[in-house]
Amino acid sequence: MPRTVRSVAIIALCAIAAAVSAQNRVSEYAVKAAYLFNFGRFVRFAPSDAVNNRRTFDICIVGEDPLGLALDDLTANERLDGKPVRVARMKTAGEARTCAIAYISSAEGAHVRTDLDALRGLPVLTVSDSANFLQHGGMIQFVIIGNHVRFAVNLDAVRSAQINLSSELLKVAVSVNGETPAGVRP
Amino acid sequence: MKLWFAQSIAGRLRVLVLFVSGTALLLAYISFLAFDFYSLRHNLIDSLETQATIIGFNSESALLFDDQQTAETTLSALRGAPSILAAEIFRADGRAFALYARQDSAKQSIVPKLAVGQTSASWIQDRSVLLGHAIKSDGKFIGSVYILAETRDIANRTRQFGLLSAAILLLCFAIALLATSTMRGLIIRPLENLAETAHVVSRQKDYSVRAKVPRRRDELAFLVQSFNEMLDEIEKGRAVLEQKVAERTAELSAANREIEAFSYTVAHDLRGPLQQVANIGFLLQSNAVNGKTPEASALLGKLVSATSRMSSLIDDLLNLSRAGTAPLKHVQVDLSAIARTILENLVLGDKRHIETVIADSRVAIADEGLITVVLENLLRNAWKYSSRKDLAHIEFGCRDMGDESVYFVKDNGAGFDNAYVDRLFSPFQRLHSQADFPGTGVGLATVQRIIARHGGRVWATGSVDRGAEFCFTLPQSKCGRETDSELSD
Repeated sequence: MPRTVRSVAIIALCAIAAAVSAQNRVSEYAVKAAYLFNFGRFVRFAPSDAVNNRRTFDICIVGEDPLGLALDDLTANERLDGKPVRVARMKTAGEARTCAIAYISSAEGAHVRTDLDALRGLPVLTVSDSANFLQHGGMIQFVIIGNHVRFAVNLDAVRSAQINLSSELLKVAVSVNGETPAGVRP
Repeated sequence: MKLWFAQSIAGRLRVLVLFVSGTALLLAYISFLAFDFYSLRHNLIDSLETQATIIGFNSESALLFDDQQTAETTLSALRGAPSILAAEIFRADGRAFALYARQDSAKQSIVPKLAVGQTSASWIQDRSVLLGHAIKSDGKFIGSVYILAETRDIANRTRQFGLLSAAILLLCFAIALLATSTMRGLIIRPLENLAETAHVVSRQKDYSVRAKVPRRRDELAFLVQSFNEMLDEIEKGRAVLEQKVAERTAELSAANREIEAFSYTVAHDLRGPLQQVANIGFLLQSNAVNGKTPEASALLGKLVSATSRMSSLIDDLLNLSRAGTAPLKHVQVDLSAIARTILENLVLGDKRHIETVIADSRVAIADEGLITVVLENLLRNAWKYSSRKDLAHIEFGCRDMGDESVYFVKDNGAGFDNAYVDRLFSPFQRLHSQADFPGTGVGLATVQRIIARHGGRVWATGSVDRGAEFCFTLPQSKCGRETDSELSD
């Protein structure tokens, strides 16, 4: 039964995501929450001690949390990479070293650089919606294009962290070379 | 049906061959078409299914990350399949996500029809097939893809197949015609030849014709061969038979001629000496009477009467002989006149109370001398056998029976037993004793021979003591009017 409930929840969320028209910030973050979870489907970590030691697939929110409970609802009882998904919230990036995906909210502002430094070289997929995230060595940055939530990828940063992103994911990325298209609202 | 029975064997064979090949081809066409139709449609659906699955895989991320452009790019790969009219990806909630439509095709609207939990389904429409396929990510339903493909290929195939079948049917008809004409040479022509030969044999009785034997050694050749051998046998048999008949006829006529000659000679040569015996007897009788020896006179009387009977027998035998050999000279003869003369002569010789009825002017076409012999024999018989009657009645006449005329001589005399009628006309066969009615037994045989030579018939009816009637016919002779009858004493 909970599986059915979950499916219904996902369907509902997808519907919401599609209906996003960005005027509604809540909807936008609900879509971003879904994307965060969906990234988990297309990410593969190269085997290492750090990766092997993970018991759970942690999606961590560093700093201020704009997503609310959307992500928690979405990931309840889900598994990614064969491990149960857990949503964790933490003050600093230093605490996110064992996470699989680290979402750094735009509210971090200037802290983004230090956050990225703290995670550099670690098998953690960094995602943020702050501007110039990719230029600072971030891996995936949310962008808004034509009222749709999209994302751009810095493939060099991804590779240097021994992370493999599926070509399926890269196919739908706005760009993969670390640049963000001009005229996009962060 | 009428056409079938009216046709020759060749025609019937042709109809049969055409019917059989046509039916076979039609059945083959239908079954192939059905199979082709089924398998084509099946193949089409299979290939659509594969394409839908690939598109589903490739649009997973596009659906997950709401990327319509990528989804449409994925769909546009269908451009390579010209039979696909349109394809559309729907979101999980059923709203349209990405659309592909073939450029030249009219805008096709696709309505998602998949039931919840259904992975794949296809719907066959008028001239198209719609296939729906669920897109799943990690086992979760995230959308669906629909592909609409036209079945024009199937229609084309059907038409092409039809044309091909028609062409094959025509070819089969041509082969059937060829086969029947071959059959004609193989069977029909020898049969016709045989039938024609049989016809000639049965109509013209010409047993010398032969049917042409086919060169092949088949049943027909055997049949014709047997037929010819049968004709050989018949011809040979007939030849032998004809030869035998000719031989027998020659033998018979030779024997007849000898007998005729012998009896004539006997009769003719006996006459002379007999006449002498009679004359001498007569002289001796006169002398004996003068010499008063009554015993000798009585003996001589017996001798004279015996010689006179023998003389009349010889006369009759000569008549009989002539009746069979003398050449016929056909003229118109007045039978009534002849009958009258004969009866007058009889009346002159023996005064009796007698009533004669002679039809007037009954003519016939016959040999006058011989027909006179006939009438003399018949009337003399009538005279003789009616001699015991108080009032004798003799009639000559003619009546029409059917299309032939029957001449008759009738009396009321002693008559005869009808049971022995077949003996009447045989020579030396008599139904009455010599004591009752003297006679030679040659007269009626002579009558029959003469009438037969004329080509007519003779017969008699009678009963004991009730008289007799002798009838005869003569070809080409007619009674004419039956008018006066004559009474004379």
